[in-house]
Amino acid sequence: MNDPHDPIEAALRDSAYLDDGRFTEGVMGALPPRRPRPRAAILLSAGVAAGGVGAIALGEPIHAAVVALGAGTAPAMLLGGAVLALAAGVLLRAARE
Amino acid sequence: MGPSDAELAARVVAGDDRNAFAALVRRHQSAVRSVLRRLCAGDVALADDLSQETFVRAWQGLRSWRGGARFSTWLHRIAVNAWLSQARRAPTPVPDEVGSQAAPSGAVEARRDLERAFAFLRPEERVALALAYAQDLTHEEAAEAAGWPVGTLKTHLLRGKEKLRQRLVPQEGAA
Repeated sequence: MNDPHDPIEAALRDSAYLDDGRFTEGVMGALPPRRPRPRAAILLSAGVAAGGVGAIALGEPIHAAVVALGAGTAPAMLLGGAVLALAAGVLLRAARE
Repeated sequence: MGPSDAELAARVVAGDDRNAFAALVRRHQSAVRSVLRRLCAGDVALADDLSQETFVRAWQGLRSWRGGARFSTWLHRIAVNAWLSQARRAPTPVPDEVGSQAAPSGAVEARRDLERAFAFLRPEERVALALAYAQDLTHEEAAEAAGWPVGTLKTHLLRGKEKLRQRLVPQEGAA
C-alpha cells in the first residue's frame, strides 16, 4: 500500500516542523480567566467565626480592658471582635500557605 | 527530557497550572497546525484559528482525558471536530487549479500545492490523509482520532491518494 517511490506518498510524508512564533502566546491569551478560588471565601468565613468565638470567650477581659481605657462598651466589643476575627483569619491563611 | 504529557495534564487539572498547559501547547502545536493546514486546504489563517480553538477546547475538556488514548490522539480528535464544525458552516471553496502546470520549484511550493489539492477531496478523505500522515500518529491512532475502524480509514486513504495523484502528478502522454 505504501510505495516509497510514489511521489504522492513522499509529498504526504514531507511535513516540516512549524515554528511556534507567537502561537502559544496567542492560545494562552485566549484561555478563560482564572476562576476565583473558593479558598479565600472559606478562610474569611473561618476567620470571622473564630473571631466571634474569641470575642465571646474573652468578652469579659476585653470589656474590662476597654472600660479601663475609658471607651464605650458596645463599640468596643465590636472592635475587639473585629480585631480577633482579623487576627484569626491572618493566622489561618498563613497556616494554609 | 521534560515531564510527560500525562504529568503536565495532571498539573493543569490539579492546580490550574498555566505554565504546564503552555508546555503542552508548545509540544503539540506543530503537529496540530500541520494537520489543520491540510484540512483547510492551505488556508493558513483559518488553520491557525482552528488550532487555537482546538487548544482552548482541550483546556476546557482536559478533565475528560483519562489517558486511555495518547494525548496527541485526543488532541487530533478535537482538531478534526473543530474543522468539521467549521466546514459545515462554511465549506472550503474549490480552487480553479492547483499550482502551475510546471513542476513546483521548491519544497515549500510543493507542500503548498499539496495542501491546496486537499480542496478537491471529500471531507472524510481529507481527514483520513491528514491524520494518517500526521507527524506522530499510527494508522490505528489516526482511525481512533477520526472515530472510524482502521479499515474505513484505509479505504478513504486509497481514494484520497488516487484523487491527489490525478491532480498533482503529470500524466504520461499528456500534452
